[in-house]
Amino acid sequence: MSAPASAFGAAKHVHTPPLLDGRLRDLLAGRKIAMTGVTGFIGEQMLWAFLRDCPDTRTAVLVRPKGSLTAQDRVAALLRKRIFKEIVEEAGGVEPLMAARIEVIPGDLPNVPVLPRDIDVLVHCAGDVSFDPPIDQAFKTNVLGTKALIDRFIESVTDADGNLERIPHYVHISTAYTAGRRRGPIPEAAHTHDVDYMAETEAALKMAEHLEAASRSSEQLTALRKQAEAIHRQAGYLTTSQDTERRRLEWVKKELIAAGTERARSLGWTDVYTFAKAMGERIVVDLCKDIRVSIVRPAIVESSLRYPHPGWIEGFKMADPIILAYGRGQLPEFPASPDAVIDIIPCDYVVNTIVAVCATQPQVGQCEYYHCASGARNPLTFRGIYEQVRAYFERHPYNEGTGSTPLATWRFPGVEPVERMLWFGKVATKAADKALSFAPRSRRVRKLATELDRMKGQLDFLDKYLTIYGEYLQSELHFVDDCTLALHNSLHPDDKERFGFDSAAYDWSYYMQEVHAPSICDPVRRLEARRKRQRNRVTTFRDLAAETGEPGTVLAAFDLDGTVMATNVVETYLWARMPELSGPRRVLEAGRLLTALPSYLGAERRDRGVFLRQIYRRYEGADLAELERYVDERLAPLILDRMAPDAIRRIREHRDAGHRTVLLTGVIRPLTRPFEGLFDTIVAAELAVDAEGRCTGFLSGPPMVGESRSAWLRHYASLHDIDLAKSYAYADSHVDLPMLDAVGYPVVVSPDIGLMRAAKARGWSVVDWPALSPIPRWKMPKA
Amino acid sequence: MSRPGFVIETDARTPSLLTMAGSRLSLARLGVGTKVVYPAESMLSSNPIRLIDQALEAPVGSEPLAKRLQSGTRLTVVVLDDERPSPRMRFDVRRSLVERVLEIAARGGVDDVAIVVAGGLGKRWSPYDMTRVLGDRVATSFQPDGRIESHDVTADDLVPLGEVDGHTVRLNRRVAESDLVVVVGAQHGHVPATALTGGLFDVETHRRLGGVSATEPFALAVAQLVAGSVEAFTLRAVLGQPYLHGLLGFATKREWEWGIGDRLSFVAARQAGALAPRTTGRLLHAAPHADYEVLDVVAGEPATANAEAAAVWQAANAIEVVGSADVVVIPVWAGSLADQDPVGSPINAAHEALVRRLGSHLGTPLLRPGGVVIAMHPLEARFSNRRQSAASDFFAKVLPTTIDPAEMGGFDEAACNDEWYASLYRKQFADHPLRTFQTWYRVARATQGASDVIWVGGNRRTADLFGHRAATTYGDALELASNTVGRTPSITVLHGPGLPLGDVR
Repeated sequence: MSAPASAFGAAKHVHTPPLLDGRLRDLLAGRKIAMTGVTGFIGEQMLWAFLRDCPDTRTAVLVRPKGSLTAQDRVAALLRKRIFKEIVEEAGGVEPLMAARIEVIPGDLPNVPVLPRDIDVLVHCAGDVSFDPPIDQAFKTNVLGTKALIDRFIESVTDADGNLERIPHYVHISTAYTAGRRRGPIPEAAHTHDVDYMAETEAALKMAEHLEAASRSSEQLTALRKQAEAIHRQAGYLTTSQDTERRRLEWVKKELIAAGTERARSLGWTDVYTFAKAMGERIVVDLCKDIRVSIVRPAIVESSLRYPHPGWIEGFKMADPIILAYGRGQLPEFPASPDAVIDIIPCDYVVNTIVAVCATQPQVGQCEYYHCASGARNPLTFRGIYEQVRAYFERHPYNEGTGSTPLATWRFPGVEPVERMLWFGKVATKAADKALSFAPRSRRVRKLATELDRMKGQLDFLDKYLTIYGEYLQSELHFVDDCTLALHNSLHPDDKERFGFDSAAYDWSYYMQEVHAPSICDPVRRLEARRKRQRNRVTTFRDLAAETGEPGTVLAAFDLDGTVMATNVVETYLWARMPELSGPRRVLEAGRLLTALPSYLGAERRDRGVFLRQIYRRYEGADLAELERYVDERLAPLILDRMAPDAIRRIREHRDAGHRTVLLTGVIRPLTRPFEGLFDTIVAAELAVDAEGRCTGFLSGPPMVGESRSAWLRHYASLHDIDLAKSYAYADSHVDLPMLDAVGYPVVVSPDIGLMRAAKARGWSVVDWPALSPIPRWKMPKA
Repeated sequence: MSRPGFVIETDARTPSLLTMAGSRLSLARLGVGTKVVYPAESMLSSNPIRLIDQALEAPVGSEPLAKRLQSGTRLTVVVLDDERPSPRMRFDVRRSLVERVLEIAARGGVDDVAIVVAGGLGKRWSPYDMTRVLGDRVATSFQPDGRIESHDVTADDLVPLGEVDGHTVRLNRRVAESDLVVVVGAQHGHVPATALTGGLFDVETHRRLGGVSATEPFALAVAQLVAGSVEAFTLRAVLGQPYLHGLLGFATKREWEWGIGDRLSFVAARQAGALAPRTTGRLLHAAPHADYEVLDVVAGEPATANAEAAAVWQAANAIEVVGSADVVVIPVWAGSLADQDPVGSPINAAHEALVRRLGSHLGTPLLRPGGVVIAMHPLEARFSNRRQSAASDFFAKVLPTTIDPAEMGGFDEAACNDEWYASLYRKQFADHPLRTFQTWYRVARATQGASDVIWVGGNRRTADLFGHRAATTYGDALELASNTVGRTPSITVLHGPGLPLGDVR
């Protein structure tokens, strides 16, 4: 295809940037170059380039201490990466290298420390990598951070009287997309607009305060609490409140992001990232009137073409999630314009441009702009990417064996059909989710829920991706790169191979198929293979025979209904109560229970404690001693045969391993009598009795449900020197989440959907313990 | 008198023959030339009182029972339950025997009478079992005073009788302290009972008797020790073959003698099984009752009387079979396994097929050395948590580690010391864990002579755990067996549900 730049013919008037008149290493010899953002993608390679190929250049790096790591630690860790290996070996180790060539300045944006007074060039390439940061954060880094950095930089070259001692060079790394929603050719010059960056910054900071306050209003908190309760009500107040707070923080962040995006769009930018970057450029020009200043604007930076090695990349960039999702067969169609130019530039070209710019001497006060982009002279359209990626995956399928998926053929139907599909998908998954929440618990339902979750995940991914990057997939602009080309052409012939950056000089098929696609797919393939191996290895369900912990310091807590025993309190009530009643009263009682069942089920969905209390009211008038005798003689066989054999085996294994076994249940005490030989401690609901030993229908204390179980476990552990981090818990329903969270090895047994999701998110083992009784469920064994 | 058992050699005109495997019924044509062994004809049970009285009046090697009882005699009636016929007896003959003994005792003015159930390592009797077997009259007069007990091999009060081979043999206290012990039992099988060694000892003695290194001299020495310290009298009913009633009535008749009713009930039972396998299994096959004709009652000095009872059973049930076969085919019907279990545990099924049925011969085995056993049973690994917890663990933990009895010593010792098993045995009427192990030891010993055991319709994982093989159909099983026994093996089929005794010549 013909390049957009060729349509303009030979130019009569061209701005000539300052050019190079020697080898880069000589031009930069003796200089001290300070950098920000060396722990990032571009910064890392930049540091590598200076250290490797400019031996007489000193460097300084501004690095933010992170947690317990000092700035020095972080730089040392950076230098231990593979690309630095040769340089480190040559210098005789990381410490000697740092001492000889790298000055570490601990500091942060916008709290920049005093800078050393011998910096010749300052390259600022720190910044957010996210396209959708909250608005205040975007301005803090890109405007206030940049301002603080330049202030400190000018301060470092100014004497006590306020006069410049010498004239340094400030190189600002921005982005080509500061052009915003403009169309057509974008020149290498300041964008024309009249937005007041300080006013915007202040407004952004105020917005953050405002939203923080708004999130604490009673209306907002009520709404969030209700959302949290819908999921976690059964688990208890603390779990709900934790989730409410998490939702509040999430809401604030979401609103700040939305505020940023909308503000950016209202002024002509695609998102707050490019908007804040554009404001940053403006402040650079304003503050650097008296020094040399250049701005480098890379487009979409992807893996390196040649240096440090082909395909070098850190993390995922913009195009990569789509490439992977396509390879995995998750994207049947995509709403991009097939002819939109996706302006990709290899990372080493950007770094080379920056190094070359550092070696130039622009005129004081006249800012130079350089576009690092391929769109003008070597454009790659979205359809081009699609074809390249498809060709790559045809040769190297992502999913193999039974996991294979057909490669989708994209017809580029435009935005609307895909959005419609997304909308339908969302509605359908929501409805299915609701329907599943009423489905009885079974393996098949869990499988359906897993599939539903996967589908939801794919829809969410597509939705989020399109929200963030959608505009870039429709872009109809190209970045003129005449200045960058001129700079490239002025490279010394000996530097052209190592430091060249002519974006028309490489072939996209080679880059996409041989360099870029493998560089992002191979690590993910390896990661997934490792994850698959780990998944096959059970995580929290451990082999107890291999356990070597000190006996008596570990406990294993078990839930009863649904975990150890396949029954429920209504059924056990019937078994326990019926024999005491005469024939007609039995029918009456069963009828009453049946009519009350819907209300019980409702209560169970809301609060298990309430549900248990309602059921236990029915025990009113029962003779407790008689009940116990009946359980021992007649119900014990029934109860034992309802137990899962695997559960019994596991409990016994715990005992053999010297663990304390604890049964925590909301079931009434008499019904736990058959388990007395299996558990060291049984915590059950106690029926209150009157003077004649008849049940009053009330409990003598609240039933043990939800958070009271975790509290009980913690207190028990503290009294008996038990290490909960090495302990086990087994449960089946979402109500038991707090209990499972309290121990180090929680195991989920034939879970409901809520708990299954929680277990997957936390990486807990899920096991199935079916009750394999040879006796049918409704038959009472004779003896 | 019933018609004796026989062997038919199938030819083109032989009708399809019945097989009962698990709870599945089918009529199948067996290959031409297959020998099918039919047990003696089964008959309705008759009132055994006359036979009992005759036996008690003329006991072998002993004075009549009435003469051995005085008013001060401390009498214990031991009800043997370690080997009982399956399917369960509809009218348990032991009830008549016990009642008769009690009547004689009452006539003799004996006051101190107790009943001890000797179940060995099997499940102890619950009050329900006692009523069911011994009847309301005995149960209601003995239970309230605690004068019926089911022997507990783990009890603390067992009495040391003496030492054999450095090992102290302990016996049930009541039995050891009695002046006279009347042992009541039913003979259904060719092996003579060994009186009290059937199951009144402590766990350790049972371990020695049925363990891997069990020896004949040790068992003999124990029997002698008991005989020397306990005054015993045996009363034993010899049973015929089971006679089934109701819908399954056709099963104990010969196929060519089926009437229209039998044919209809077969179709009904088969179709019901196909429509609702679990329910049908439970209703028809889980706990069937059968009538047993009482062939004879033998009484007297234990060793002599037991030998005579066995001889009577052998005489009535032996069937002449020509030559040991290359392949023996044994369908295992659920009804002849555990109670209340429509399919039966795989270990019990293996025991039924390989020990009880394959071992039912008079010295020369039915299977030639190196032959192949084809058994039919689903081998579903379902166990009752209460009754078969130890078997379930044996299945899940021991068999995957080893199938060699010689390597199981550590496991069986651990199982004997296990508190949970012990509590299930004592309180929940489960089998003693050792029973599972000893069952397996016998199975392993029985399969030593066979080059392969193939389960038709058996669960593959279970068969594999056993070190056996599984085949989908009988044809496939023969195909598998042809590796060892060639294309034209001689085949003997043991026709169920009765227990034929092979007199191989």
